[in-house]
Amino acid sequence: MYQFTIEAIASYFGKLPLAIAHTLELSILTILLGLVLGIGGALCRTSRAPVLRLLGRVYVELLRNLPLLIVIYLVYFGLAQLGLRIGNFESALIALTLNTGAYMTEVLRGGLAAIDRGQYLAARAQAMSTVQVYRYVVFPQMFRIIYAPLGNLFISVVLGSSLASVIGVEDVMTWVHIVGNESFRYLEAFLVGGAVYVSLAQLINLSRLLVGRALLRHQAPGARA
Amino acid sequence: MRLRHFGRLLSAGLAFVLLAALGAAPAAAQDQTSILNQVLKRGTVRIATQPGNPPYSSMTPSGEPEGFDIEIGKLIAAALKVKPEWVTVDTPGRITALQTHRADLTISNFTNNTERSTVVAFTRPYLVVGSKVMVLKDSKLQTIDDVNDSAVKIGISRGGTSEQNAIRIAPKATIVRFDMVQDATLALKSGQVDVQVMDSLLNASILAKDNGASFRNIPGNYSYEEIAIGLPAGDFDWWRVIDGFVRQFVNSGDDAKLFKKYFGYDMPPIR
Repeated sequence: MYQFTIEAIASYFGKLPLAIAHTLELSILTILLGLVLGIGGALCRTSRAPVLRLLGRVYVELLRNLPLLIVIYLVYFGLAQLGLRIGNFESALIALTLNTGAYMTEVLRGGLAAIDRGQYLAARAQAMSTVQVYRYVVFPQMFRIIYAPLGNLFISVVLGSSLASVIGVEDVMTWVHIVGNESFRYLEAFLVGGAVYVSLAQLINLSRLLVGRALLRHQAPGARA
Repeated sequence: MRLRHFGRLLSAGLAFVLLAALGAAPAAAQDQTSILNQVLKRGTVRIATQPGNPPYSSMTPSGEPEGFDIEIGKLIAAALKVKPEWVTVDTPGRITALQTHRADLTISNFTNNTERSTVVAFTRPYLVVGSKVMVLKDSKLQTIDDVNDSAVKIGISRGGTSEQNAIRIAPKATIVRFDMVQDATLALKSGQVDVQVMDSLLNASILAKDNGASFRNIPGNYSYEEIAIGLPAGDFDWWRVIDGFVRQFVNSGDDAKLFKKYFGYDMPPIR
């Protein structure tokens, strides 16, 4: 019978902080770059130019319907075979960002679409410039709408980053594999790794809540800054 | 708000503890009788195998397992008059499947060593292999001393013996771990790593297929590994039957015949 003991893998906990740092680094960079890509994508998808709309649409449909694992393989192995060798961390970051950017595009586009046309017209009637319309009218309302779906997306980025281990990125998932392989305590390693991912996802979620609360308080409904 | 967040964290934690308890329970229940009796009663023997490890074991396009190790599994099932049931695992999964009783046997290019023997049981070997160090044909690396350099990246499949071998052969080199042997070979071919450390037979079959087009070996053999069938530890009856099968399989010459069929050359002697 399997004897469950966490102490058996205690000697590996020293290497865990570095693994967590790599997972966090990958996740946070993906979220930030994904946001940038998503904003670009959403602007393309809602653009008046048909070419940009088509471009945005092709990007979203392609990346949303490709398994993340395949995107990672394409960037790391595929591009390398064409002569473009990208390191494993960078490859994972590119693949995760492309994937996240597609979902982010849809979330942001949904937020933009939810703002009634009348809002733009009313803001224009107040003699606001285009920048002001977005800064004071569209974005504050949009932020409320996309706030919850963004949370889901951020968590899926943290969990999806574990796929980077297949191309040898030294993240939490790789730590789990190394502990299992060396100590043969796979169940313990999986559970500790799982607990770490739950905590990291919650940490990212908590930061989103804190940032969101600060921003929403600042942009109270009807407030004119 | 903060309290609600804490509640969510707590429920996630509770779910984890429950999961752990569930994982431990069936293993305890299964241990009441020998696996031998369970297999005979069930009418199937569950065999852990890796899909991406030809010619030992791989999947046909229609999803049927095939290979040297698969044939051995079928022979064991036939000898026990039960049906084989394949449990697909990756390299480390060969051990976990036995520890958690998801499989009754692991027949998957599985090296018997002291470390592994402390957690799972092994039969006598049906094959003895070494370790080879493979590079691209036009690589600058010529000797093992060239490989032992921090600028050199060695690709290996994690959980296999090649990981320990790579560290032993070239302690200064950078190790890049992949999930499957094929991924490590792909990484070598696409230039993402400079070297692949792998078992000698797999290496021989890759070089035979490649026919000098893209790969070559750094001269030398770098390990002695006994390939055997793995079983859950602590079940003497089950081990007795399977080890007996392997003894007859090897000494009757069936082993060598099957080897030649899948590898295309004569089996190296088992010392």
